[in-house]
Amino acid sequence: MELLQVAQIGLATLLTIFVYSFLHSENPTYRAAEHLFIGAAAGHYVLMGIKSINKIAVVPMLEGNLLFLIPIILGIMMFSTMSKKYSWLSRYPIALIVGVGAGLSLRATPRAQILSQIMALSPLLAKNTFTTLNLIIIWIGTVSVITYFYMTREHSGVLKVPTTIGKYILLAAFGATYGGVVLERLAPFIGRVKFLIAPDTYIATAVALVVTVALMSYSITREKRNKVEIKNGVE
Amino acid sequence: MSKGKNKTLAEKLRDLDPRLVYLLLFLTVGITSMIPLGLPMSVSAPTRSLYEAIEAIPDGSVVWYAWDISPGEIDQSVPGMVAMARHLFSKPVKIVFISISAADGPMIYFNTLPELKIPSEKEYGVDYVYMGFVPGGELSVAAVASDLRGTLKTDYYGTPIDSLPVLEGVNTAEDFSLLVGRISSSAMIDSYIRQVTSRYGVNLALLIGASGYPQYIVYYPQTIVGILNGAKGGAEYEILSGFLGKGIAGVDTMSMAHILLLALIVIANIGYFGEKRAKAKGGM
Repeated sequence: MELLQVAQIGLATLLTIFVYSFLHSENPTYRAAEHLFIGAAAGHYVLMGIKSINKIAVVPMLEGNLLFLIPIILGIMMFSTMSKKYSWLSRYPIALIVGVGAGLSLRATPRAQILSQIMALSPLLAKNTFTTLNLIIIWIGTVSVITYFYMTREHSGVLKVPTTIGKYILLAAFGATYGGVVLERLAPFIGRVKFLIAPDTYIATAVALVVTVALMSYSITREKRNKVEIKNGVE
Repeated sequence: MSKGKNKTLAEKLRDLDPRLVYLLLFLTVGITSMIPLGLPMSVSAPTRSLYEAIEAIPDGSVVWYAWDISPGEIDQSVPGMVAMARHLFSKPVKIVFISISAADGPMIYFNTLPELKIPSEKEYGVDYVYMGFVPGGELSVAAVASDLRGTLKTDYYGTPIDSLPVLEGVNTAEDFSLLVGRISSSAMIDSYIRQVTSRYGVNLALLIGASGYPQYIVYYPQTIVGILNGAKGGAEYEILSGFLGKGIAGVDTMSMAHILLLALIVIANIGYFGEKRAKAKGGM
């Protein structure tokens, strides 16, 4: 295995174990991994931003298309938020972004996300009994959930049944979403464990574990000693 | 309330160290990773629809492959993305990979390239191309969809778009026969639905994270013609396409981890209702 590859695997296992050391307690090894991650991510995004601006605006501008000067100036104006005196300058590019974004999305939202969804629920379009039944359940669920959010009247009388159905539909929906989140969060964990115990990496994992335990023990011992010294100093 | 040795079962369950859960999970994942169980797995209808949508692509047409993925989703999404890409590479179609609003897209694309096992007869620039990262969110999706050549002047390597045979005759989203891929944020999926599918009628087939699946399954099959549900969907697609990889290798582990979590939820509920009953009886 090449030296670079060994270094990459070693660093990856060390940082993974550093992060999982948080399960014991918040400690300097976890903080080191966290800061490294944030720094690397920030550096990566800054680089990608600079490359994009260069490719999309600076290069065409230098080739003679001076219109790109306008978005560059607007982009610089966004940084004025860091100044109390000139932060008002940032309102113009923000207004432009919000206005164009809202216009673009509103243009297509009614058809793409409202009308087509309503049309898709028509039981007349169902190919078989189960699909029709499914559509009826979706209709009942949609109407009852919307009724649940009708807050200007008390949920009693004629509203009691639909709002109760709506409440349970919402609970089921949140439960399904939560289940999906659990599934989603497990996948990276499984990936990390497989990485740690893989034939190429288990030795690096063992070394990383020893290093992390040693560093954590040193940190915890030093913290206890500092607390004792402070306590003795106070007394 | 009882203390010390006189703790009831409900109290013991309540006071269990949560780190025990992590340890159990680690042991479950570790053991099942080393000892595959070969648990049976069925293929869902949305996955099968996505497979059929790719199979139905006419020869010679161009496919838009959205490579909008962030590093936290690699384990969940890459197996499915690789299976879909390998399926596309096995067909006589052209593929245009684009990362819109995913700054990590290029890094993950190049890390994943060896897994794609691109056939030797497929030539970069002729059969497939990577356009790189395009910032701007929905604005970029709309711009690329309405005027691809005006928005993406070069590919990732700086080659002018006009000298790429793969994009010959491709000017708007209408010229793509299918939009497939992974779009990591819900807001961006909505953007693609609004700006590409709704406006230009391009079929959309996506790998969606498990947390977003309940939200976007409602668009199936009218708006989104096929959906892969996260890691499980990726494994299903590997079975269907025959391009087996990391997805299928991780399914047993996922299943056992979920069984453990289900068991823990049942135990926690036993503890919760037990404690409630004990309080009602006045025993605590």
